[in-house]
Amino acid sequence: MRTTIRGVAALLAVTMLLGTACKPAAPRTFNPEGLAGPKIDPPVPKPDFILTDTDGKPFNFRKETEGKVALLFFGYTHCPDICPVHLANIAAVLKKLSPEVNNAVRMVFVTTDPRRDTPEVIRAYLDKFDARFIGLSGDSLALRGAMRQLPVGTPIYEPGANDSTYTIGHSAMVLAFTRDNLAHVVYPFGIRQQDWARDLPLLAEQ
Amino acid sequence: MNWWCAATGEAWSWGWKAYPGVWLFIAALGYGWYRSVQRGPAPPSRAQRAWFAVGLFLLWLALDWPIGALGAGYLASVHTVSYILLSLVAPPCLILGVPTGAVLSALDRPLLGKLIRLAARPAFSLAVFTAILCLTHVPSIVDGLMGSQVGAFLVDIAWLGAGLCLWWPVMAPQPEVSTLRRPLKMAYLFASTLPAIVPSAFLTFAEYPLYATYELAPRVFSILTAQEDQKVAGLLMKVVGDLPVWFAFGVIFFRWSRSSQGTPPPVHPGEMRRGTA
Repeated sequence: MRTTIRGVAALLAVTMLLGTACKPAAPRTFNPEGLAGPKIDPPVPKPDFILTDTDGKPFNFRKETEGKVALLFFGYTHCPDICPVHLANIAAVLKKLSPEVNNAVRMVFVTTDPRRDTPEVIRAYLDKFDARFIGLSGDSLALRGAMRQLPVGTPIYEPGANDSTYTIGHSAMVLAFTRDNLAHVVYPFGIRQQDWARDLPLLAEQ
Repeated sequence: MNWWCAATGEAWSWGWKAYPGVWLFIAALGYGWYRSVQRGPAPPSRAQRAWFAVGLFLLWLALDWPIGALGAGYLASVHTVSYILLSLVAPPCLILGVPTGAVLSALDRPLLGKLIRLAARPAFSLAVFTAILCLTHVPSIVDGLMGSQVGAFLVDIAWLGAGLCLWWPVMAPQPEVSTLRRPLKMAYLFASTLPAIVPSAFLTFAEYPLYATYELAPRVFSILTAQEDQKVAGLLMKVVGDLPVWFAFGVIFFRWSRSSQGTPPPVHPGEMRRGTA
């Protein structure tokens, strides 16, 4: 009797193991608890926009970032404070994370200053942080269309001492879209490298 | 207008800014020195005046724009330069600028006299220096204090106080205040280089930036990342920060070896008031 019970138990265990191994992994429910970035409820759907990348080619954001963790940030290359800090921190952390995480993450920078930020200017700017960062630009209409789909507000032009030294007030948030094409968390200014280092692998696992 | 250099979060500008609190502080120290030497039995020598002026100049350099402003809110490396100036370079100059007579007359005051004698005890001074050095490099304390002018002021004053404490047992008038002999002075100076190992190692080898103040500050130089800036800060603290101490160690050793050979050592402004040690 005892031998029979042991045999059944072993058979069940093997069946369970095989079942787990052969079945395709079910999509896990995203659990943003424990992440440094604040949770957005309800999550923001990934926007559908086409802008121009730094090679001058059309870039379909939704399509090109499908199956990846897309970090989306609206800023401009003349930004004196927020943009360089966010980009430098993400770049510094990615350099220290595993190739798997690096492969799973796409950092997309969209300009809010199409007048000064030509594709070449954006490329040169992003290369200072990480050559893999994607830079997008477009005309004001296309950029506004992209921003309207997201809770990032509208950029505010702030005149400078002369015509070329103006600044632009813009959202300081990095939106993190996971593989489910939703942004469950955002990363406001103040997020540190330690936070990215903890969160990016977790986002990549989702 | 800000009265003291603190972290503001504003983009760095190379345009000069006034920090009147710094000027008032330097002026107050100068006035305090003037009053104390006036009360003393003998006027300060030319060398003592020069040493005190150099000490005040170094304090002003550390506290005012640009070093003070860069160190308070932008670059950890410059913050370390401020620390080195305030704790390790300016205090010995200031001490050398105070005539022995002024120190001895201060001994008569109950509270100040007690403090002067207490600070001449190596164990006490080293403990105070170590505690201030370590506490003022704890990330939560730095981030908590550097964002406000009062907090940044407290850090700067703590560093200056720690420096005066550190140097006092070595430079206090002998034998009236300090009785530390030269070999013990050298041992004390060697011991004083040890506490900086801890914060400088953390700064140099930390995997990520330790201080939000500097990590999230608008970049001053695009080629210097927050992590590199922190590494430079750690190296400066240990390598450059130790130089004044080792210089003093060398001077004491040289005098000690000369005196033990029977050659009278040359008179140094700092030892004009000392007896044999």
